Amino acid sequence: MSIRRLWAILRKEFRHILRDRRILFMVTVSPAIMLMAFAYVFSFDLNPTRMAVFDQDRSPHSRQLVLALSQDRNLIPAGEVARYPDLRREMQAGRIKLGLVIPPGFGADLAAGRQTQVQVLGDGSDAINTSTQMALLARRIDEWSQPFRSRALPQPVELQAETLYNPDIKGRWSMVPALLAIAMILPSMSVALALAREKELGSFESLAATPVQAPEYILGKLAPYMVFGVISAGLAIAVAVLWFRVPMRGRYLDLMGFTLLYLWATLGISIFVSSFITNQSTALRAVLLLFLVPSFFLTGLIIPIDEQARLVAYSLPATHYVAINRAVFLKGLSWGPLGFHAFLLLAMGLLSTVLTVLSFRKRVG
Amino acid sequence: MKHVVKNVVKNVVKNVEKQSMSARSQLPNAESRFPNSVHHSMNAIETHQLHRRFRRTVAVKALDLAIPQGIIYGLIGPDGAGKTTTLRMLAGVLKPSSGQARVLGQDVVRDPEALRPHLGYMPQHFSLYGDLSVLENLRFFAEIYGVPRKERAARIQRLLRFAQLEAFAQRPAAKLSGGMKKKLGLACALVHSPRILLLDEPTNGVDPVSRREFWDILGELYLQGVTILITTPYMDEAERCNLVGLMFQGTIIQQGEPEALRRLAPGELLVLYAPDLLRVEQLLARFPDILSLQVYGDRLHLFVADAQASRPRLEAFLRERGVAFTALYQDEPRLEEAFVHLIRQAQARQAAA
Repeated sequence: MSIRRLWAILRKEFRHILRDRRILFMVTVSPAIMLMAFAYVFSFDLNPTRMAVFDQDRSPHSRQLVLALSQDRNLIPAGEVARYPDLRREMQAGRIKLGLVIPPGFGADLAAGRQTQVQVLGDGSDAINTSTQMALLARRIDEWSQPFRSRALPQPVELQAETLYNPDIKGRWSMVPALLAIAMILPSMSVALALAREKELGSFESLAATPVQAPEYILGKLAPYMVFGVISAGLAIAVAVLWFRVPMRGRYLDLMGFTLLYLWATLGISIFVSSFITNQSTALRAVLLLFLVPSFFLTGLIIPIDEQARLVAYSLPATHYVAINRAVFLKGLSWGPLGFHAFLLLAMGLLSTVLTVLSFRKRVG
Repeated sequence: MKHVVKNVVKNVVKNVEKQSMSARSQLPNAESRFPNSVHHSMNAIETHQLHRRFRRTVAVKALDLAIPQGIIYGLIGPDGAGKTTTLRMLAGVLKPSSGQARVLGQDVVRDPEALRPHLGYMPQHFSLYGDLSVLENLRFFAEIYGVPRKERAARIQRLLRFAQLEAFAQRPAAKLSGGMKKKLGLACALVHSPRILLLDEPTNGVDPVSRREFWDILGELYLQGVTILITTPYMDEAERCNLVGLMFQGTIIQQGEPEALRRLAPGELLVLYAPDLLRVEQLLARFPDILSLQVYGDRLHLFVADAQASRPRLEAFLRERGVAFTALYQDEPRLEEAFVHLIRQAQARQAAA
């Protein structure tokens, strides 16, 4: 490995980036723009939802509860039903998303200081909105039941869900930090394109015939995109904090450290994969398939990590960065509790870089 | 008719063998095949049974090359003959499927890195950085090749002058003309003063003036003792080489000095200019003397065993049929005619087999 040659590659790579406006755009402001766009698409702030009630109790208490809930801006009262099957039929027809079942004796139990229950039915076909709505409903019922609370009866109405850290279930607070993982895929897309472009344009063939060595070439490609990755991550984090007002409860320095690890892991894997690819469109598709698609569905970004897919999820860098970002932003956690995720990101970066250097061939065709 | 052609072909093949033997013997070591020969240090490039397959197609097949040091060797042949694949293997950027290749005594199959400091390689397509200026491209390759810092500026200046690119030093390479791009490519391949140059169609698509300038540069390199292996689609360029190899379907089917190869044209050449070439061409199918016929724009090139004897017969043949022609004369065959003939011959042999 020669520092002189590495330096030559580095300078050349920086020039490529700085002179091509499209690439420069992609590795500086576009993650911030992507974050903004996705934050609006995936914010999952609650849509007002129609709810019907099956009140078997018909006591003053049960009517009070229904009245209290109908005050909530997120809930649109859709009337009462006389029979339990009607509730299901309404839901099947899509006329309601939520159903509240108040059992007989609800009011009597509360009046007697006994614990009682309510059942909430949710439309599972609209999983994200409904689950947050159900959690919100649970919270409203809990609030309503406060007057009946006593030392002997901490929870007068039994609830099923509980939300921490984000009591008003602001979708944006949890989504924006997680979406950083998606936005920061753009640098690895750029580096994959840069590698493929060099082969597509044919300059790789000239370079392959020179004494340049694999580590020089690989590090010369990796480093500039790390630098620009950090710059663009800074901009995207600024958008999260200043525009979306996501509370930053942890330390910025920690976040940048984690970001650097995430960039290394994603850029490293991207370089490894694209070192086997010879044209830009395939490289682009590979990165999309490798990172973007699974990152949306397998990393806990939108739906919780599936237990059976845990191994797959953990092999994706985004899984760890999603967990890290939510924890740093909203829980204020640092390296200690997040060491596991940080370690896996580090391992991915290191392993992919070493593998690329070892498998790299100065060959065409 | 077929019978005649066969006989003539046989004779020609015999002649070819004699001629190419004599041509080769003038160049020291051009015949040597290194597994058998102990002294191969004179040859800059040697390959033995070099093969390269791409899935089902065989691009290079049992290629034996022996190129002496300090000459300009021209590799010619139709598209898809395997010229680019050969150069890539010699440059160490493509692994052969089997066989051996040595360049400047280095085994480029096993260890291509050892050769790199002494090799200048110019791939077929523009392969520099379009967004970097002429000067930045040259500096980049100088740094990659480790040209000492002290010499760098002077050497780059010399190359700029050499390639007549001084006035364009600051221009992005993408904005150069086709000819200038090729000259920059050559300058970048020369920045480390290589002892051997592999040039893949370096003048393809370049105007005649630029081609001439390019060859002036190659002439100077030749005088400096650089060995040059060049592929070219232009026969006038092939005639400037010391030695020419004709490649067909992955292997060299003929090798010799341009002068010797030119004489491999089938018999003697009669050039015929006529207004209605198509009709003449059809009619001549029934004229027995003709061994081979090639159309060149406004004229026909007819090959006959004896031009002196055939010319009056041909004139009579055409007059009898009332065909007008503007000129009919004997001429020296060029390399191009020999090339077309040899390729057709190879194709016919292949079709028969």
